Amino acid sequence: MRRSGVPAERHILQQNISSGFLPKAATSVWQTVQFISRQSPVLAILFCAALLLSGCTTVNIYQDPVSKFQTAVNAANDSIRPYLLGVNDLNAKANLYDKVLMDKPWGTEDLTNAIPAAEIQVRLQALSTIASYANALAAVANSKDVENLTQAANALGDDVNGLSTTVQGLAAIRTGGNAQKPLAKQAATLDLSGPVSSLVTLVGTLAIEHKQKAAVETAILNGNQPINQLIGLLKGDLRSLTLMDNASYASIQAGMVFLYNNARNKTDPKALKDLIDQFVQENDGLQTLRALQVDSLLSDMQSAYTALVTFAKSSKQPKDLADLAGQINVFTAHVKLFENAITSVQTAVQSSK
Amino acid sequence: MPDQPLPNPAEQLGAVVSQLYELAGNSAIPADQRQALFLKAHNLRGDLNELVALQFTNATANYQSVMASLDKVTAALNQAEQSIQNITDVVNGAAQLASSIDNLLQEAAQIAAKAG
Repeated sequence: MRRSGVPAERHILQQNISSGFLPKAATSVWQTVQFISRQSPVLAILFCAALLLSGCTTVNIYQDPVSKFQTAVNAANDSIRPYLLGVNDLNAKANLYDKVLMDKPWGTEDLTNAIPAAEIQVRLQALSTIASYANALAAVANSKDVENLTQAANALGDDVNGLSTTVQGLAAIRTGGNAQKPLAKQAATLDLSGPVSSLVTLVGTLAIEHKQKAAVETAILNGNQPINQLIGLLKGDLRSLTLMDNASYASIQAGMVFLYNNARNKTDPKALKDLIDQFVQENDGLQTLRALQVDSLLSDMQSAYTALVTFAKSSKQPKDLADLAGQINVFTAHVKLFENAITSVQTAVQSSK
Repeated sequence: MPDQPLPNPAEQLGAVVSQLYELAGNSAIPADQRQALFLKAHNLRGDLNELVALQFTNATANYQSVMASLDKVTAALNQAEQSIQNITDVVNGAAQLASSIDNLLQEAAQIAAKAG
């Protein structure tokens, strides 16, 4: 039989305990109920009545997964940022190695950004908007006073409006004087105007509800499509940047081998050993970056996000919660791997300087 | 309903560029041929950077020509990996590919100019 209302949530809580999965925020409440029940059944009834009146159990079920998703999105974005900024560095490095390989002099054109700064900027802002949306969800889930909720909504609004301004400005740049280079027409693959326009509408109409759970649900469901689209577009875009990176790696590796072979008969053993150590370290970093598959990180972000929305629409049975937790854990684990890889490459670069 | 995007030649081109660099690094190949391979790899890497920015929805003659050239040079590269005698086929195939990509990029620029 399907239950409804608060007793149904308490039933879910009991099932959650027996299934071994309980949101952190709910654990202490349940332990308190058990403790009071043992001391005095009357007190327990009064305690439960107070809980029901305050309505605090209604939002607890969201807090843990939303906050985990928020943390993971922020961590993913922090790691994708240096990756994005590194695409141009890798390309420039490959250009310089190519010139060595072809025995041609370097030129300033070798150092020109393959991806214009404004194009990088719009991607970074889109990632910030996704993080801001996750932050707003968490703030809504955790906050008790309207002021905090308003602040979170305002922060999201600022990011969405900033992104919207950049997208509009970029459209002018792409069709203007800077568009001779085909790469400046990245609009063909990264046109964010659709989801951004929907988000602007969402921010304009988002009303903060007094009942927190309802506000969370409204925010998740209304933001579903544009945020999902935004993640999908970035995923496809990062996939194409990976192709560029892979070609740069191939050039750099060929260049390193060429330089070593040239130096082999002209260098003393100590200097040769240093050269080998330097190349091995650089190659190690390249292999780590090559294995990252940044687009699949975005796939996991999208899956976790979809699971969050599915959960919001579900009857919130223990299985629904377990499915959500599973998907978010996969994403969190992937973010950790990505973070570690980026950190290890950055550390290696720092120590070699 | 918007047209479904066709496979971007950049996917296959990325693999071709990597194979070209790898082959160019093979010390068993004469120096002049390795130079030629490096040059082709460098130019095609530049083309790759341009192609990734585009989306193709129409299988024009230029698009089909690029896809056919890609298949041809991929086959030549696979053969060269087994026997380094056929480097000339690879270099010629890469030159043909670069030329067909140039045509496709020009076509894309014209379409973009008309749309703008």
